[in-house]
Amino acid sequence: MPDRSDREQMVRAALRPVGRGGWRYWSIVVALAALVAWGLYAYSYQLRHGLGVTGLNQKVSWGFYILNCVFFIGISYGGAMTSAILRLTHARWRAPITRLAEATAVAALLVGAAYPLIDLGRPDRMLNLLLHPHAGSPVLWDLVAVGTYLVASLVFLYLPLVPDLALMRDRLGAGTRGLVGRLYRVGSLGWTGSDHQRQALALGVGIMAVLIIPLAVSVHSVLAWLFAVTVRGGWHSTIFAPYFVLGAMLSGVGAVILVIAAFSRGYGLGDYVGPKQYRYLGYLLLALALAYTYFMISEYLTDGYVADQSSGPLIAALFTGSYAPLFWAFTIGGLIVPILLVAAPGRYVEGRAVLAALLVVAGMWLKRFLIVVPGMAEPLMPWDWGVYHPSWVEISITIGTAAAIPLMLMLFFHFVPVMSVHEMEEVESESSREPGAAVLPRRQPAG
Amino acid sequence: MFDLARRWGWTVALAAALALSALAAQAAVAAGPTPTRIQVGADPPQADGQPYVIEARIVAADGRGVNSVPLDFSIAADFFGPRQLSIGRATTDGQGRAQISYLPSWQGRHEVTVKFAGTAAFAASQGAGSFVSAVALAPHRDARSPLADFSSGLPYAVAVIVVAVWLTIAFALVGTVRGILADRAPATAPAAADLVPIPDPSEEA
Repeated sequence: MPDRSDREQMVRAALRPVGRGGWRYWSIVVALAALVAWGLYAYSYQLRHGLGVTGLNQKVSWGFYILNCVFFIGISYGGAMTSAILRLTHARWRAPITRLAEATAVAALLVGAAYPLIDLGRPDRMLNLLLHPHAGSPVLWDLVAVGTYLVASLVFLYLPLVPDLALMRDRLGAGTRGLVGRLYRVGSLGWTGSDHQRQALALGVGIMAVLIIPLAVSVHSVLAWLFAVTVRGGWHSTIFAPYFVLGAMLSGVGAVILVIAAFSRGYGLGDYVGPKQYRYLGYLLLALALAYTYFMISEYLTDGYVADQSSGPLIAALFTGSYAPLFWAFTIGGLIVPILLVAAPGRYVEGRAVLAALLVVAGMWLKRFLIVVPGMAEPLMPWDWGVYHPSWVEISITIGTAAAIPLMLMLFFHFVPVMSVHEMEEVESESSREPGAAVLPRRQPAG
Repeated sequence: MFDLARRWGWTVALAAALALSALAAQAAVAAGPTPTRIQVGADPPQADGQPYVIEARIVAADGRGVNSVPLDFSIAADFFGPRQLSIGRATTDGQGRAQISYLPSWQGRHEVTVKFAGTAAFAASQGAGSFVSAVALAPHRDARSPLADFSSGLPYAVAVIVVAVWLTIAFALVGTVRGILADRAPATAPAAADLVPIPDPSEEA
């Protein structure tokens, strides 16, 4: 069992941000809320005037909205997979970061799932999907997959939260007597930490960790099939589903690194989230980036060698044509440089991992743009290439939804611990039986 | 003298003839193009699966056929509302006849309209006819996919998997909640004296 003073130190670190927020916290919240409000205004403008206010047109009818949908659901996928894989492999260094990864998964999924609605000029017609479903339509199964994944992600976030809600119930003092206190009491389900309860929780979390992986794979596979079952250059590919899944994991792990870096710095979790987490997440990022590079080479080599009527002009446009600056910016800046950053040995592990993650996330957004837009702009008949310039509405909605993710996380962690105290205790207990694998810092409490 | 008179006589006669023909042409133009009329008929197919032959003949007012002019054939159809559906165009022969072959897409009465757009010499006109079709082209059907039997059952298989996933989620959630509730703490709120407040970060500093 962890030393009593270490445990108290950990509990204090985990609970420190709860219910409190200095001027820095609230100014960031207000700034993010302003961006979200601007995005909402842009969407209301689009609702009133129709999709004509966007840069979408007859040839390029999928633009920022669909690529953002793929991108944000990919981020969510990476968060859920990171947490689930680390739980199933009993990686002890996971304990301080699983809560952040799971919360990122839910927040990103809520944003990503909203984009198909935003992409509709008449969002009320979404009901037709439920009222008149067509079993052969990938869109119907996309809705089913995303809905199931959302519910599973919420359950996967909630179950490990139960002991920490009990901790909040017991330790938040007079503040627990309001509505929030009632939520703590109801949500903690009368948790006492008995062996029976621990076993039940471990079983439930284990089942969800196993289930969330194929679910996340299915969500991104169905998204990929929405592209792959159309006869378009660059889309109609048999490797599209695993290609999408890999890209989602890559961008998701990158986003998790960024979230962990931001919250550990902002909430002073440096004693628990350190070089070990960044190094291992960096290795994960490296493996995924190398695998993605392999897939990319495989795709472009086979398509480029055949260079038929649809794929030939598309690859020419990407490699040397009008999309070449974006393509090479992604390939070099979003893949090669991050690989070199995390592969190189030496100091500044955290800085290099964060920079690599930032480049990967930005690069993967560019990659989604390069999948969606040129694929639509390439003419299927002997016409000119389509042109797409996003309008201020699309840019504002993109910025607003991107800001919604950190905003939701900051508000969520205003009420629950940013680290899973229960899980850290569990891992620490296991570690005490195996010397040299401690999670908690071996130091005396301050003061 | 006689030669001179004869030469001038021929010249005058030629000029008079030219003037008269110019006047005649001018009169003809003033009268407008020659009216035309169109007769329409249809011959049934000689064998199953062969088309009908729809023939039209365009004649001028004097009853002679008008050759080398295009005729447009259409049928009355109810396709997103009543409208004329073009079924072809043919050019008339020396007798003023033009033919197209047409395989109806439905059985029953077909109202055929043939139109002539007109030229400088012949006025526009149109004619109509009808025939009752006993045969019709079979409606177009996509070739049956070799995977049709398999893919028709696929949505049901996926639906079964989805239901299984939902049941597993429900099992994990409900099972965990029941397991925790079985050993739950008393429902009463902790006494104020038992509560351990979170330390203020400023105090810690």
